[in-house]
Amino acid sequence: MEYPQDQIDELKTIAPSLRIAEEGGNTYILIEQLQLPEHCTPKVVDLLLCPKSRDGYPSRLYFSIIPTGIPARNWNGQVRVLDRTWYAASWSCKTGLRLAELLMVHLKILRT
Amino acid sequence: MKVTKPKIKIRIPKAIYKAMLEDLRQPHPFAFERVGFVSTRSKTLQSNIILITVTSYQPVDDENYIEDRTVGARINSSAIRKAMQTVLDNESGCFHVHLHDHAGMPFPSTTDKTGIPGVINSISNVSSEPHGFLILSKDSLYAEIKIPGVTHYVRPNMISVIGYPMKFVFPGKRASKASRLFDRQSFLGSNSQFLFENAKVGIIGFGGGGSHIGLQFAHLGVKNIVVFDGDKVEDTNHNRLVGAWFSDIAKGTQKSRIAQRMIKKIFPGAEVESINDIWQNHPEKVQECDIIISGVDTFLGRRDLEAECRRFLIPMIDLGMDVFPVPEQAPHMSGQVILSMPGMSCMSCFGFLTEEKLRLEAAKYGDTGGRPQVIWSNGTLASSVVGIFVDIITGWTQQSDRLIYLEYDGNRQVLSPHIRAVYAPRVCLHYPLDQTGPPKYRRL
Repeated sequence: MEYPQDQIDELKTIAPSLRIAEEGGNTYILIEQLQLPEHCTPKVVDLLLCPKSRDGYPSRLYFSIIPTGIPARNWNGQVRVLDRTWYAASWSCKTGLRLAELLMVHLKILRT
Repeated sequence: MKVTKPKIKIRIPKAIYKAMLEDLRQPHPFAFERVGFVSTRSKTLQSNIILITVTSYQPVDDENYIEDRTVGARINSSAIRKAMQTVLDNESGCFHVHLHDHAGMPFPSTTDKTGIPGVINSISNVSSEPHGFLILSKDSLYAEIKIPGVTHYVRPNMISVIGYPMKFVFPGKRASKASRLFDRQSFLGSNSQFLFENAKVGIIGFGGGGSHIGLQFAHLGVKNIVVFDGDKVEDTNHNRLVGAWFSDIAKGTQKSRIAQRMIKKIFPGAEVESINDIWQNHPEKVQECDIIISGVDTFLGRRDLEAECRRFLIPMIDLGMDVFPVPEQAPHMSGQVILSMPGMSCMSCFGFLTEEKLRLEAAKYGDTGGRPQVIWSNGTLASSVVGIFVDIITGWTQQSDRLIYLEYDGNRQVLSPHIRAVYAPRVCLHYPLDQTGPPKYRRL
């Protein structure tokens, strides 16, 4: 699955380090060492963005570690993808968003 | 500080193994033998096991041989440069491959010992992955590996060809003395007990299906078993948990403990590792296994486990059952047994796993309740799983490349091939064989 270059460039303005890999027919975007807001622990995490439908959600954002310091969320998505363990909260986004929009909407779970 | 020697397991998909044999048997205008290279991905586990998965095969083109009647085959620098470029492009390891077309274990000839290491040393200069060479014969394999930081070549502990049936080579291991315990199953093949003693099997979920399977593995003499289950015996699962005693209910005995107790009582020689946890918290323990039995009870769980098994070239056999209410009729009991063999149809190819099922299951999260489960249907399904396992390991029925998706009608006690197996693709559409081992990311 290829993504439009303009969307990739837009996403890079938020997360410069982007890599991509496939598994099981899904394409995942790895965002390494993204800095989280001040109130979060840890300060940096890896993220795995799945822009397509997965686990019953239109898209999913997985965290390498469940962050603390944020409101209680339903972390219902402990999964193994691409030889790593990832965690996702129950958070629905509408479809049709650009990659950068998708990431920002998913990152709203960190808001206090 | 004592440095323990790593154990090395090489896993080769059957499709690639067949491609190698076919190519290496092709006559060459002047060379007596042909040569190729396989690309590999490797991962070193915390247990000091190095898993090497073969991801592709590249034959040496005809024009890259040098005419030399004193050796079986001599390849030119273009062939070696091409192999090095492949290693750089794919961030992979590389094994030189050729064929000694006889039966039995092949061994490197004097020419092999003098000629091949130089090729491998060149390739090692461009990558820190393990590299080495493979020699195939009609029915066996030989390998030596150069591990970064180790000056001498080492032999692997296991080479397996992943397909139906599997092919195993355990260099340096010999069969133990035949035991009367397994006398009546000797029709499975003269080396069947040796295979049961040396292959490692993981049972994910020691419930109604997994406990039956553990029991049968013990009676068969399967030695190396890893059991993953974080649950305990309760009054509501006692009706189907083979090996559980009534006293275990009050004690709250862990299912993984039940597994160990039961299997060891039947087969004291078994080495049972009990993991009182979900497998996702111990993925490397799954990756070490040669076959996985999936007694997972959710579609989402099956999807993740299958993805893990596909990545590390591990055949997975799944079983499950359910009872559905039918208005104004008797409930309907159904189930399935599915073989997910790397390279061949996966559970999505079979139509067993679908986005719709995953979506519906995710929507019901937390509302699973107690699903109906009984011992006899689990026993039927489990016995079929064990039969498939035995055939994959030993090849005793002489069947090959089977697509297995069995459906169970529990009302009529009938287990039969699902119609979807007829129309499933023979080559997996979801897990290509070049996506095995540690994932390879592309920079955006």
